[in-house]
Amino acid sequence: MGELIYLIILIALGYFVGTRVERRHYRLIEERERNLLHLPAVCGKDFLEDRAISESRLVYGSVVVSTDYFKLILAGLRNLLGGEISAYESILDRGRRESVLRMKEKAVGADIILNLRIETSRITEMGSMEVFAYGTAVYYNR
Amino acid sequence: MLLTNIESIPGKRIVEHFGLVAGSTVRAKNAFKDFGAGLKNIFGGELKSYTALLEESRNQAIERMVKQAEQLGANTVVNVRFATSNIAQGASELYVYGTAVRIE
Amino acid sequence: MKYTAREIKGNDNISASSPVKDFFELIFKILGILLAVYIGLGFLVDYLAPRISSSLELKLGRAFSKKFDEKPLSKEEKELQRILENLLKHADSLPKFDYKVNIEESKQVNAFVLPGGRIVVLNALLKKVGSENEIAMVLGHELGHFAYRDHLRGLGRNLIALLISSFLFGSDSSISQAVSNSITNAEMRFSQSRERAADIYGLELLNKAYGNVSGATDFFEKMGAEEKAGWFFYIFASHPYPKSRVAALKEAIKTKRYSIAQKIPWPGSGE
Repeated sequence: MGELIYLIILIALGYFVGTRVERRHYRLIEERERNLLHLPAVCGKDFLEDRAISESRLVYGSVVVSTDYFKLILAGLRNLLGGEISAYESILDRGRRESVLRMKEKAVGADIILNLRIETSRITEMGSMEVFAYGTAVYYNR
Repeated sequence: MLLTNIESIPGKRIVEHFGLVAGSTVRAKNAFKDFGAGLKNIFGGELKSYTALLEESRNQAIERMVKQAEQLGANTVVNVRFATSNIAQGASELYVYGTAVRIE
Repeated sequence: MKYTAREIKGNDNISASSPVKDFFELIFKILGILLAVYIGLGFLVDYLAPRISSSLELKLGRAFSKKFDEKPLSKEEKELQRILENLLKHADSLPKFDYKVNIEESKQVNAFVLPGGRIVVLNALLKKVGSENEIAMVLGHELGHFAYRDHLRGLGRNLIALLISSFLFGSDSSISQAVSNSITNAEMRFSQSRERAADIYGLELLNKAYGNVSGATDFFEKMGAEEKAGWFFYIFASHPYPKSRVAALKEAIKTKRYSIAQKIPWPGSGE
């Protein structure tokens, strides 16, 4: 019985704290995405304008995101019956967008990031993921 | 919506691009089906239920990416890439991304 | 190529479903499945129990025997064995087993049967016993379970686990013994009608062995006096309400014209 109460407390804590953390993270992501909207990151390399290029270099960004206890339990239950694990979708979505943002933030003053690639890997058994984004930042002559 | 995994659409000219679009979904396998798959692993062969599951989720991921592209006013997504990752025991993520463009 | 900066509104990569709703839905579904499996196993036990042959039952019994046969018999156990053998001389329609009785430590006032002819009396029950006749009635009742082949059903859902592990690993293996050790006396339950049938069997056996039925109702009367929970509780319980058991036994004694005589003292008790 004690164990069950302990579990319920952990799940509730995971839910309330996790939801707050997620909401705050999304607010930050959206704000930064708006600020960096002028810098596109694209897959492929034929997206240059007809302008002289002053510099191009590799830029990358990464983030490790982890799930909260509520989502962990939810995913565990979902694993028994199968189906969509919507709880993990937001974790990965945050990770992706965060890693792209970090990459863009490293390309200060760049005009475009070409050949963007995104890699995702599981780093612990319990649903922690690393998301890594990389591409080539191109600067035009001013 | 046109999708390619090369830089362009052959025979068409790209007039503008809108940057990255992406779609993803996370799916879990059914534990009972997993048991069947475990048995299948002894004898080998196709795990039909898994093939169907992954196919279905990949289609959903594409659908989500296309929705983003439509919102941006694009009519084509070029350089589409797929990534499948195992995010937790028995759960897989299907991720697809590309560049949203408008062709003439 | 021209770049047009446009913002993506909303987030299609996240499902609209509420995670809390999802969570409770999953919990209810999984609990539902577990409940269905549990009930299904119960029906399976009821189906299997009468169909298990005596030789297979002896094999199953071996999973339990190690635990009891390792220890030497105590004085009380020898005394119980003597009473049991006296009863066995007069018993009929019993499966051909080597019947044994053992005592186990427990706070619960209870006795139960294990496959292969073993009766286990919990020491809390022994402390309440005042006469040999009284304990003979308890043993006779347990023999009734063997006679009516309730004992396998009594193992409940554990019977399935035990059957599987004895088939896979043999009944002497440590795995089967671990399974048998995990079977608690809380699981040893029969339906109320089986208990009443065993009561009557015990009563008849007591009369045959001792020539009278004194002490037949003593144990249940004590239980009834101590029982704090009302009759309502017993609607859902496995054992019948002690007072109604006493009434049923008294009724049987009257209709069968059994006699009452001097009780034989029980050497184990201090009374």
